[in-house]
Amino acid sequence: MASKSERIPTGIPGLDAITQGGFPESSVNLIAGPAGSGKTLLASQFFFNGAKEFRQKGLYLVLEENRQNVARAMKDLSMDVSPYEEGGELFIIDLGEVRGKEGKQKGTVGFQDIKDFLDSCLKATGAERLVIDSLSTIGLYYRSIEDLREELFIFSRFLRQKDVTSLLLTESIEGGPLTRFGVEQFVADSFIVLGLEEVRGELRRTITVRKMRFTKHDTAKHPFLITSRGIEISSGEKAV
Amino acid sequence: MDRKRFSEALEALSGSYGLSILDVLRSRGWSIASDIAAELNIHTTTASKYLSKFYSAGFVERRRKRCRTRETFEYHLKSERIRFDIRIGEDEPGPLIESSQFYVSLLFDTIGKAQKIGWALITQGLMEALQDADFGDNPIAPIALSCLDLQGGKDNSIRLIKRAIQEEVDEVDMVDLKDFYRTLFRYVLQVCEEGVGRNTALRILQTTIAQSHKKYVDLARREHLLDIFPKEVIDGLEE
Repeated sequence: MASKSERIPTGIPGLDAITQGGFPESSVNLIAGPAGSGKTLLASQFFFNGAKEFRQKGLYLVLEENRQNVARAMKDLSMDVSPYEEGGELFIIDLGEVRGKEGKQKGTVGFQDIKDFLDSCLKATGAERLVIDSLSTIGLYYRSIEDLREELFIFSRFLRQKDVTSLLLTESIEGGPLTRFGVEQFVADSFIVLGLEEVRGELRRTITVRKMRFTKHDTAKHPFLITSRGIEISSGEKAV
Repeated sequence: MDRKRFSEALEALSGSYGLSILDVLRSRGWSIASDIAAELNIHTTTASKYLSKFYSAGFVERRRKRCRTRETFEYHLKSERIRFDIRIGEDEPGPLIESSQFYVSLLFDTIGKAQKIGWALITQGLMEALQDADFGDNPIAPIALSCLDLQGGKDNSIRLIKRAIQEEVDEVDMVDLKDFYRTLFRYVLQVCEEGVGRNTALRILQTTIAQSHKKYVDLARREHLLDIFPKEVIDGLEE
């Protein structure tokens, strides 16, 4: 079991409490959930709090949205990345800007491109926290689930060899499998599922830590709120 | 064609071996300077000088060729008829200035693209790289480097380089100009690669070349402005 000193705290109220203090250092962590469940927000807080509270540099790799939208969404929740970007502590990189626009597979990037990019960029930035938003886009690059699974496995090994704690985001379809391609959870060290469920005519957000290596984590489904300060998890409360 | 290049072209054509060299090219097809020199029994340097001037004048095409120990150019006659396109009395910017505008625009667009994806460190990285950059003894390098205002922006740099070329026109030659930008873009690619990896660096450059090429398509074709880029950059464009 990992000791406290080997944890990478998220700074998200409640989440660190149910994970023994955060993600294991240098681990690969998967966050899945349907659209609107709070994946990007959770990852943004992990990224931003890293620099603000824990003096850890971060790299946020945008593959779906554009970087302006991601930065604006963070700012709306009191996470202004500009001073940290100027200070060389936080980097939001939008690889979508240089994707090809036409032809087969040209609108996407594969894991080989991401590895090539990270090999240089992690070294150049010194980032200790990494967010990849999202795997759903990379998955479209591959023709078969077998190819995707193999490349994802190689990629997760590559990430573990770097001194970086990674959050990989993936979409899940409501009522369908837990992850977009059904294989992402098998190669990650931890697997957190965000849910969006209707209770008495209202949408309720939930979070469940389904797996976390080296951690005696809470396995209960907890409700959470999105407030002006971001995600707040009621670690003592269970969703029933 | 500007006045300088027109007089150089006339000088080369009327020189002792000008027409003979073109005639050898006509009969042989793609040839390197040493092959032509051997056929005419002249020194390779002499053949090279003529070919370089014919290339600047747009009479011949050229492409890189890897020989046993080094890289050289091989040349090809564009057409068996030679035409001059010159307007008397027109104060046209001339291919040197136009080509510089193309390359400087491309440089700033590349920097802009890298910044847009979030790699703001490119400007600083490039400034550091250019401080120790090695341009050999290219006579254009000191002039062109002093005109590149990486923080001031594209328009200012273009204005400065235009004025410098007008003032130093006798010292500026298209071959040196291209060699300067060839080296400069090698540094750009290297700095980008260190930050975002080889593949992304290539994509950044390819995206900006494709955009610039659309704007300057006639000039780029006429002056062979894309010749300065490595094969992997150009191959990616063609895909």
